Amino acid sequence: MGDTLVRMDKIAKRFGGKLALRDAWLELRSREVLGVVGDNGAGKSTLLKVLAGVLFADKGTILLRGSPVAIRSPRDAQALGVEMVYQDFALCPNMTVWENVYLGRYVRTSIRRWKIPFLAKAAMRSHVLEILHELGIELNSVNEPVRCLSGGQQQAVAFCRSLLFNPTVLLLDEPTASMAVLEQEKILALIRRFRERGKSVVMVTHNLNELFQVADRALVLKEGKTIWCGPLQGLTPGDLAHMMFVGRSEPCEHVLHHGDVQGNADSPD
Amino acid sequence: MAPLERLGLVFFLTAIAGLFSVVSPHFLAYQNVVNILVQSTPTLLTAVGMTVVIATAGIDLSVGSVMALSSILAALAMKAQWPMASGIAISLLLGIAMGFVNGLGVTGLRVSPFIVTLGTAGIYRALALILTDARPIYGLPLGFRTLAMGQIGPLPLSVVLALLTVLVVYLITCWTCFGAHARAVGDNSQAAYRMGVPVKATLLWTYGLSGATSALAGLVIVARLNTAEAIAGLGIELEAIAAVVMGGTSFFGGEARISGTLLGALIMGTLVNGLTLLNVPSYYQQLVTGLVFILAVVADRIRRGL
Ligand SMILES: Nc1ncnc2c1ncn2[C@@H]1O[C@H](COP(=O)(O)OP(=O)(O)OP(=O)(O)O)[C@@H](O)[C@H]1O
Ligand SMILES: [Mg+2]
Repeated sequence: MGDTLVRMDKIAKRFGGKLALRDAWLELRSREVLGVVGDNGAGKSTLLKVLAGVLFADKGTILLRGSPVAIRSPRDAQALGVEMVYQDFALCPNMTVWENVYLGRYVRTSIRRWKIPFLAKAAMRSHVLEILHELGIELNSVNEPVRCLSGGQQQAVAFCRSLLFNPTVLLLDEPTASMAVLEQEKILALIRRFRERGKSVVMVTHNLNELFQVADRALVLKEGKTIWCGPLQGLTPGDLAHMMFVGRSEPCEHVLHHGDVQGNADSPD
Repeated sequence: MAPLERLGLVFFLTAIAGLFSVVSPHFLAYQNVVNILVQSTPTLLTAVGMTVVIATAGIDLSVGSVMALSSILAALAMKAQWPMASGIAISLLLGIAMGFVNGLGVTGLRVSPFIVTLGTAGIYRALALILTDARPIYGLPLGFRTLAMGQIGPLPLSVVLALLTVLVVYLITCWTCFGAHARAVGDNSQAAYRMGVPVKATLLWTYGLSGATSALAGLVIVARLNTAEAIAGLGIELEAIAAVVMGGTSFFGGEARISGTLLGALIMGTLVNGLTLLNVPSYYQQLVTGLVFILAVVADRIRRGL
């Protein structure tokens, strides 16, 4: 755990008449796993998508290593080393594994003298195989369309893609939802490995046990507001669940005294 | 799976050719085979651009109107003593521009491609009629007409040109970023956007490409008939879409089967030619085209288990 890497402040996002985020903030330190929890519709995915450049916040600021950054498109986020694995994996079912992994960032080459660029398929295929091997994922072929893969394999493709350009910040939206228990263990191990390699991970989850297994700190969102953010030491899953569904109240007051809570905490009511 | 489907199309093409050659002794004559190729050229050219549009889960109903308007302007320019090269360039650039207008409608107005291109089809056709007062333009420069009369080896120049276009579009769909992006946009546009694919630019260029191949089809027809007219390419979108769907490119987007489109266009051309040899009136041919189109769409549904 180290100094602050990403700081999102006073983020607001409206969808038509619906305020998905009203006053959300987030602090991510380097080399940590930050768990994001909250009820359904609390705005967890929306907050991550703002950082990934998929959604543009109506209000608020984003700081990276202390300096403000403008993230107006997925490309901006990618350029800053932010990658996201989406809840639905964001795959193109008819395209092959390697085409999905490199989607949006295809590598091109051209024959000497001829200046016509074309896809460097062989190089991309072998690099995808390398990353999959490194992740300990077995696939028959990287030339298969993604629709032919199992759910777990599709997720593996999505993970592989997020690691392609060696990101500094990895955003995972419910990475273990819809996975068998064994697969869950694999994914948690993977997240720990990311942290060991110096990456920072933000993980949205509904599974509090899993959160306590892997996360260093947690952030609680409620109705579009960040109501708490702090280390998990000394807390029980019950304390977190209480905050998620009831709001900030007694059980976590002691955390306040550790000085880890910043800013706009909701008053318990 | 794909090679098997292609084999199926080749088999189907051989079967109808065999059938026609039994019924009509002239069918397999060298001159008739060349005729089939020449007659298939406009359909093939529009269908090739259409394949990429359909790969993006779109549709271009304006191909026939683009053919007419772009070739009329080229013909007017050449009649006004502009050099042949500038006439051809004008037609291709106008085709791309008309495609861009379609693309802008699709990306900017957030209206479905069906509606946008149905509307522009009417507009482009009307402009062609207004510009010519609905009168054909005859008598183009001889140099330009080599596009129809020239030969390269045993094949007419227009056929060679069409096959080269097929090859180029094939290379574009399989070996370029643009081609992969077009398929990704049709497959899952949201995923493509999230991964940083320039979705709007991809769509714009896709419709631009369809405009370009349509303009080329228009030039080929004008050269062949030595006449530019506002009703050129009327109803060709049906043949083009039928060729694309028969070739195995799905309406649902995400795939571009250029080789299938080539076979599909040849099948359409063979059917029409065979019926002509059998003295079936041309209005029955439209009926066959329509039926084949619906059958191809149903077959696509079944193949995808929907
Ligand atoms: N594209 C959108 N258009 C309209 N409303 C949206 C959109 N995306 C999210 N919302 C709304 O914003 C709110 C927050 O959504 P979000 O997906 O961020 O919740 P979440 O915390 O991730 O929930 P879950 O646990 O169910 O994934 C919800 O009420 C949702 O209906
Ligand atoms: Mg969510």
